[in-house]
Amino acid sequence: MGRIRLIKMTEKKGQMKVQEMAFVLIAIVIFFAMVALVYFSIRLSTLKTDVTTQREEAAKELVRKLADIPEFSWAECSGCVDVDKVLMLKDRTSYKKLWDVDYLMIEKVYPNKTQIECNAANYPDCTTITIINNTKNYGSPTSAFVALCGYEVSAGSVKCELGKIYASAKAII
Amino acid sequence: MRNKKGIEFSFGWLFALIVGAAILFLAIYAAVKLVGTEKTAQETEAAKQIELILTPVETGYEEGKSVPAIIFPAETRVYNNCSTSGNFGEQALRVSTSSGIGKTWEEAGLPVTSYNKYIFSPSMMQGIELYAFSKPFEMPFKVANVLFIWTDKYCFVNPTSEVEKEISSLGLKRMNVTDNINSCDKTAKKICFVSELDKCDVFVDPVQKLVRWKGKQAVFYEGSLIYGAILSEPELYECQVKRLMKRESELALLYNAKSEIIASKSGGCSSDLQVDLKNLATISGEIENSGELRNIYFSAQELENRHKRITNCKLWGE
Repeated sequence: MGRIRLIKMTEKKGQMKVQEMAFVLIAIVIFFAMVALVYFSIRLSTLKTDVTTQREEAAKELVRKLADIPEFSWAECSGCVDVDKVLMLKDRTSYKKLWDVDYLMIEKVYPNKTQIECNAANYPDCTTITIINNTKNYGSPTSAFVALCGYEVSAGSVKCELGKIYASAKAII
Repeated sequence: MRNKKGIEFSFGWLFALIVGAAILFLAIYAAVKLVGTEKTAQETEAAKQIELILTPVETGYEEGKSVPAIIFPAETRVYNNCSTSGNFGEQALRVSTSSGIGKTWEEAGLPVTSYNKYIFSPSMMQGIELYAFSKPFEMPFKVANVLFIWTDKYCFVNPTSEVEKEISSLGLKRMNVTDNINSCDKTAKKICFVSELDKCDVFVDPVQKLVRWKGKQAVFYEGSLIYGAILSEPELYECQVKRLMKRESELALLYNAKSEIIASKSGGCSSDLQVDLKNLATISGEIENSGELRNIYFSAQELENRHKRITNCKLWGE
């Protein structure tokens, strides 16, 4: 009887040890999973910040160089934008992917007028030309002042007005 | 009875050994994977940085623009790929850094694509310093800024006066001009202009506007594309030329649309150009190889001559 009790006690001790190890194992797995979760969330947010910063930098560079891009440049002065060309560019779907931005807009800022989007019918009595608008939530776009030039048909001469270019980097989906 | 000696393993030990080995294996596997992912992320970031650095190099009204060398912290490989798919084709840059452990050069980072850049370079460049310059490409209007990047040494043997002047005025590093091929650095790529010798790596014929890489098919150039044909392998060059011509085609259509709007309001001003613009858009959009550049160039010249005759309402600058 005594011997049987001893064997049963040893078996119980063994079971306890296996259970202990199983708990320790589960604890280790949970610990590593939590560490990995924290690491990946931090790394992912850093990566997202880096990508956003780089895209914003690219948008700034684009705004800086926009007046020199053939599709925008006015022939007779450096840093001037050809409004006639830009108006035509607006309707050309092939250009929507050429620049890596979510939002690209040109606005006449002086003389001050009520904001009206330009189209072939109301041009030049309008103020804004939106070339790219892929999202409603484009944040605060980068901007730069430019001279907006075009032919004043009635006067038969060139007319340049003060304008602004707005560009917003592509958002991370 | 013989005494059988042996190591006694309790269940606890066996269990701990197996689980310990599994945990160790998983930890090493995760660490290796993590290092690989980090490397890919860093290399992709580096490729994007190169692209960002190259943006201000692009010209505005200048004839050409060079920048100080782009210096990497370690030996780096830059891969330049090109595709003609889509409206304007794609330009992709990839970067690979030397690891120093095991295989020195592993797979490069993810490609950073752009649609509005035209980079002419060897398809794989290796070095610590990367050199770049840009020139506008005009036919007859400005089509784009073309970028030229390289890491190797180049030796120009008897180049045209225009090329010689440009190399010296832009201060292009690792590009030397000589009139004797034997005075070229042994490691330099020899670019011959007058005669096609065995020692030449690339032969340029400025009369026929042709560039031939040793053992490869000749390509043709116009204007600033001469540097592209010298630096890029023929396959990459042809791809970039097609992309440029796609842009040329779209721009011709844009100028045509501009001409239409001006003409409608001014009683026909600049409307004479519309047929030529449409023709230029068609032939440049259908280009198959650089051999057709000459034909497009003549159409562009014709268009330019007509454009010069317009006194006001000019569509582009001269």
